[in-house]
Amino acid sequence: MDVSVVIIYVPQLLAGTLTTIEVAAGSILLASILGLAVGLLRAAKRRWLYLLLGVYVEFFRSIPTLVMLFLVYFSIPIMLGFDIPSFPAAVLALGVAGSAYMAEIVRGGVESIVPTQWEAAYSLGMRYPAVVRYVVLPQALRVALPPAVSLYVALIKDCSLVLLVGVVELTAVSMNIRGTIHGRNTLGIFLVMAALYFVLCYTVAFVGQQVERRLQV
Amino acid sequence: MYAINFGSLAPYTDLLAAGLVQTAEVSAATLAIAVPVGLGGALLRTSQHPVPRSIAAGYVQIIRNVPLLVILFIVYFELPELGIKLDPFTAGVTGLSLNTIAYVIEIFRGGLAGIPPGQYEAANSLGLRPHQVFLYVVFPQLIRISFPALGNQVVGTTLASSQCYFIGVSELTSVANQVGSTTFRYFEVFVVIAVLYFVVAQTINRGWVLLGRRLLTDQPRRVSG
Amino acid sequence: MTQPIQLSGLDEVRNPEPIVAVRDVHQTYGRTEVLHGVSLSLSLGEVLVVVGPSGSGKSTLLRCINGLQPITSGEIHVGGVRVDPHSRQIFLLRQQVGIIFQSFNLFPHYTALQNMTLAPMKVKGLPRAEAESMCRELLSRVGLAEKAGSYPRELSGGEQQRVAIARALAMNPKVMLFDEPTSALDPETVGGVLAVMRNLAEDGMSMIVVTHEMGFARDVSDRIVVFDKGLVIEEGATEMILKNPVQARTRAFFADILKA
Repeated sequence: MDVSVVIIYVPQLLAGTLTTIEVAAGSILLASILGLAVGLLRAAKRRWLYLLLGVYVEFFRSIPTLVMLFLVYFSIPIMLGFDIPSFPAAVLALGVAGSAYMAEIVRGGVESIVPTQWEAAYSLGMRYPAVVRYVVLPQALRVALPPAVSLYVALIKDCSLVLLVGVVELTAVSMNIRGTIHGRNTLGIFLVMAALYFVLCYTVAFVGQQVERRLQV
Repeated sequence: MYAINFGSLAPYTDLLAAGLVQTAEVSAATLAIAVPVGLGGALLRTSQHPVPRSIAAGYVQIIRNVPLLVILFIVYFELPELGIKLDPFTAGVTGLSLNTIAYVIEIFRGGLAGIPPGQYEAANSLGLRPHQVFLYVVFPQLIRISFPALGNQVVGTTLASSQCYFIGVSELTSVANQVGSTTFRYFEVFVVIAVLYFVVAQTINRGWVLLGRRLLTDQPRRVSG
Repeated sequence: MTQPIQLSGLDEVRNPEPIVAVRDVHQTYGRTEVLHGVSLSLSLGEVLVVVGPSGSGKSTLLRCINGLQPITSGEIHVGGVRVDPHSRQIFLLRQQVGIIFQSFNLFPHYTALQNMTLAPMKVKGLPRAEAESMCRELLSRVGLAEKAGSYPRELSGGEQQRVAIARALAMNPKVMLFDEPTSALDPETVGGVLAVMRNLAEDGMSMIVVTHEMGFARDVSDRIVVFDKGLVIEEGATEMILKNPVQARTRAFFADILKA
């Protein structure tokens, strides 16, 4: 395997990686905020809210990310009559899909708090938002952290799909390079691509582990 | 103003159905391979010997941190350079299996951890041999503990099969794209397949629960005497 | 009156053909030595009770006797055969030794009857009909005939332990080991299990029982062995030891038990 061939393309690969990071960051942010809101609302024990948002959660957890991308970038623009640019479309698709998973993770975390904690807080006169903010959420976050980190890693991996909507991130860049150098060392490019994703994902997973360790009660 | 017209898809129902069948075939083939291999992998992962244990652990770590698409591309585009040329379907199943195996290993590893050590002690102390201990004591409990997570994985693999679109497998998403590019009815067709995927996922979920009840619930035998 | 502190040589003179012979056994777990040269023996038909503070190595000793745990040095013989966890003979030997655990360890996915018939069928090759009728009879002996089709989660702790005893008996062992069989039970159910063990002893089973139930020890056992920190510190006929313990540590231990 001739490494020098790959070296020429390092700037492009890094640019692609940067784009991946941007898409991932956007999706993770959107998924977290939206998922937190939906999850907390669902955990609030209002039956109609639970069911209504349940449809949202179940639906977006039951369709492939790729189909989400098609829907956001192709389907909705055609119906609404205006285009959605690549990058926002990618972040929207991944973020909304991710929020459905995040909602369940948050709900799981909140529901893991034993009823006695709620009772104690309510008996001190606190109302639902305050109880959630000061008693439940801090504890729930500890429970929700590992699956959330898993979700973030999955979102990073999903970025490999956004070449569909025209975002030139790592996979797109790598495939372009491969097209250029076809016939020589194409395995090298793939391995570099895989390694870069590995570094991104493993870093997030590692940081997550460290945070978990610090939060251990 | 866009006029929504689901009827425009009518001529293409056969095509879409064929896509759905292809999705089912890819997923089924993948799971048929990945679940048994994953079980073996989990046994390696929990082995006393450091070598099989680290190999299995390393495999899982790599797959978990590399996108499925990358694996599919490597299998479909790179293996030919090594002389192994696979058709899209086989390449898709191979890539998807490599991915699913890692997750199945983790599922079964968690399940094995849920079996109390006392079970092994009791089984061994009765004189059961290692393969008997696995067959009659460990495996039945492992399956019961891991059953829900396995169900989730079945759904996950089925949804992930959509990524085989990129290597030319005519599964549901790929077919939908074809229909969309022919009719420009991207809205209708992808709403339809979104609903199809949703129905498939829900069906698998409920079916899995029912399957669990049929296969795994203990049947009390109130035989007299 | 002099009370001899245990000497393995004296042991052999009194018990020429012990069914269980433990000689100078050391056992190390990780970096800690758990057993520091333990010797004891059990004669056919004898009931031996082992007492001592928690963590003194009693459970480990039992697990070494049927090969569930390996020993670092010394020898263990059961029925004249050397216990070697790595040999192929260990499966045969385990059929001779029944062990009852503090946490019952019944198989949750099998009924009581299925728990009992599994090993006779798969290890001894008994046909199902024969295994089932034998096991039903054993279940009656422990007073649980009507629970044959029940799953462990439907049984109380005491009932589970009695099923565990019946399960071990189904393999027709020569020796039964009991590792704190009643420690995890509600006080009401302890009596039922002890009654079953008493019947076993009266029927002539050779038993080693690790327990805190001094009433059982006094009524049923022939000899007591007192353990502390991985060593036998005192042993002898039950009545003697209970009335006149020689060692200060033994006295302290009995005092603690009586307080509880």
